[in-house]
Amino acid sequence: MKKKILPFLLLLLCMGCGAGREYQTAFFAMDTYMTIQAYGSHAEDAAKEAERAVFALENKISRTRENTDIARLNAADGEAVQISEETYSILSDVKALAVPEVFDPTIAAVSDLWDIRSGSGHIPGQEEIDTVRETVSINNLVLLEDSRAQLLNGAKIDLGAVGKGIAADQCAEILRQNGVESSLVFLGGNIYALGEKPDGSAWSVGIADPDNSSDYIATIAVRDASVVTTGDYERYFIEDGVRYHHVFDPVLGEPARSGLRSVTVVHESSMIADARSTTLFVLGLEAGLRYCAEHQIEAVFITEDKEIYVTEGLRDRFTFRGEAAGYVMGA
Amino acid sequence: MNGKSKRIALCGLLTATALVLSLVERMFPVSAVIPIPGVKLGLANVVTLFALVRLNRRDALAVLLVRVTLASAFMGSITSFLFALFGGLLAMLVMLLLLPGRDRWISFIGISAAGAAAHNIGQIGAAMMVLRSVYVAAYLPLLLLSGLVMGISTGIVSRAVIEHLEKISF
Amino acid sequence: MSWVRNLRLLPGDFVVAGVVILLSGVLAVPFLSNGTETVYAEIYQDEVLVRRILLVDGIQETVMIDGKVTNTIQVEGKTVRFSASSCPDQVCVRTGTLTRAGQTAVCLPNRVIVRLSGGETEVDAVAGGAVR
Repeated sequence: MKKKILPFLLLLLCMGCGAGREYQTAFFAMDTYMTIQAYGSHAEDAAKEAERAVFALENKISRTRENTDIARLNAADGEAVQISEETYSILSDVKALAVPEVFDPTIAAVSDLWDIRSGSGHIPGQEEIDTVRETVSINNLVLLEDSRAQLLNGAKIDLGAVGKGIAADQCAEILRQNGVESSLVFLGGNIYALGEKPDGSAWSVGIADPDNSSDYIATIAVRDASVVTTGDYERYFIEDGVRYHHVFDPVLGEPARSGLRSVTVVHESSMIADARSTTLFVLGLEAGLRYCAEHQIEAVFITEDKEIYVTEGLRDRFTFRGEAAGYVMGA
Repeated sequence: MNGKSKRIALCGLLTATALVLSLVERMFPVSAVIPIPGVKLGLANVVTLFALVRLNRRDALAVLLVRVTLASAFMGSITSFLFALFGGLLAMLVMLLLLPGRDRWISFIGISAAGAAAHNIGQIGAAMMVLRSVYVAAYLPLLLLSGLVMGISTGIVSRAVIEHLEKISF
Repeated sequence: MSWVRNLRLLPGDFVVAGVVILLSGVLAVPFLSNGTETVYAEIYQDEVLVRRILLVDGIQETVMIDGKVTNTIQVEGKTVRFSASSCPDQVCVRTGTLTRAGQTAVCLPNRVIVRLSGGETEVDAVAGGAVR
């Protein structure tokens, strides 16, 4: 009994002092569920400011909301459009992150055709696919002077593959500026672990089981890093036993079929982690592992055969927990 | 009526009253707040108390057992039967122990409240055995407090009922 | 039975009230401090806690949440899951069964969150764990 009451009393004691103060906010934004959990005397103000920043960002880069920079750019029919400096800078980052034929944010026409998000998706005709995949090329995004941008050849931008990453980076930056040294930002499965836990240990982030995404098949210990997963299990429909998901191969104009169920990237920039988890998912295991080695990316791959592959730099922070769910560690 | 038939009639009347109270109880779904199947407020405890006062212990126990069995047969399950039985028996025991002190150091309302609290302890005890888990007891504080409030209010209400029964010369 | 009519409270009444209140307080203590074993299923809608269910072995409970769509949430023993939903995307149902404290399942159309709270958690969050 005494043993159990002691931590409770200590917790009560901690509540009195500023250092142990905890604040958590939860909200719906960017078509997903988000929480920001922060510790320290400025936790509440900082977390609220970060939450406002997410909504402000969404009002600039969402393509489904009306009158955002991206919505106006997509609707401009090839004309140059004046956009905010922030969106302009995001677009130039994204242009730099694009990987030809693998990761291309001008994929919007393809996603619209497949319409997987709505839940009523279906397989389009090959002719329709051929028409829309022609529009996909990062070269169709032209950044002009004075914060103006232009989309050529019918291309449309979708920042879905980096949006939450950018939001997470902004949250982390705001929290740091406000003196918060310990915080966990969770933006719909996209995580930024700021600093370490109040008790001084590293944050423990699970990697979702693709077959039961509320459970995890491994944990990674992280400090000041973002963890982002791209998987085929989040939004999809199944037809004739084939899973049609929301991660598209820009060349084929259809859901990427690379033999992977999910890729998780750990990186200090959540935008890069977000973009690269999608990139590696499209590349597949072998090409993906090569890409990681060449570009110093740390990642965890889960294959359709329930094998898990971890890059060198993550191994000492990685704990396998997927035995019960039938996963094995790859060679 | 002679004494024996009067007694039997009273037993039947009390059992019927208790059954009606069990029905009324279903209008207050305690289980919406406390998700243990079969947990009840214990309105029928008033009848047990009255039976203890007017009849002998054996008859009061008979009324209780018949009521619990019939109520479960009409609208319950085996688990709710066990809960009601344990709750009812414990409530009866506690009220029996307190009755000698009536009007000297405890009032009708106090006995009713103690009975209601005992009823809830009995139910949770049964739940702990049936569900094989001690964590059901986490609901007990909440149930005890609500039982106290319920016991006091049913005590006040049933005063009126008992007075009427007096008038019809039972 | 004149004593029945007597509304005057006697010392014993206060003793009964005192004992019950004290007992409920004492019984609450182990469950307040014992964080490792008590797990709750918490159901939020629009960020408001609508139900909190203590999970114990043997419990069975079905909760219906109405909103833009209707969710059916099934509590079974120490697990909880979205067993059905009238939404088109079915993301919440596909999330599967929550079995460990800290796990969360979300229905976006209904703005409903189901979380297992309490207990000791190995992870602070699950990457890729909620819907995109």
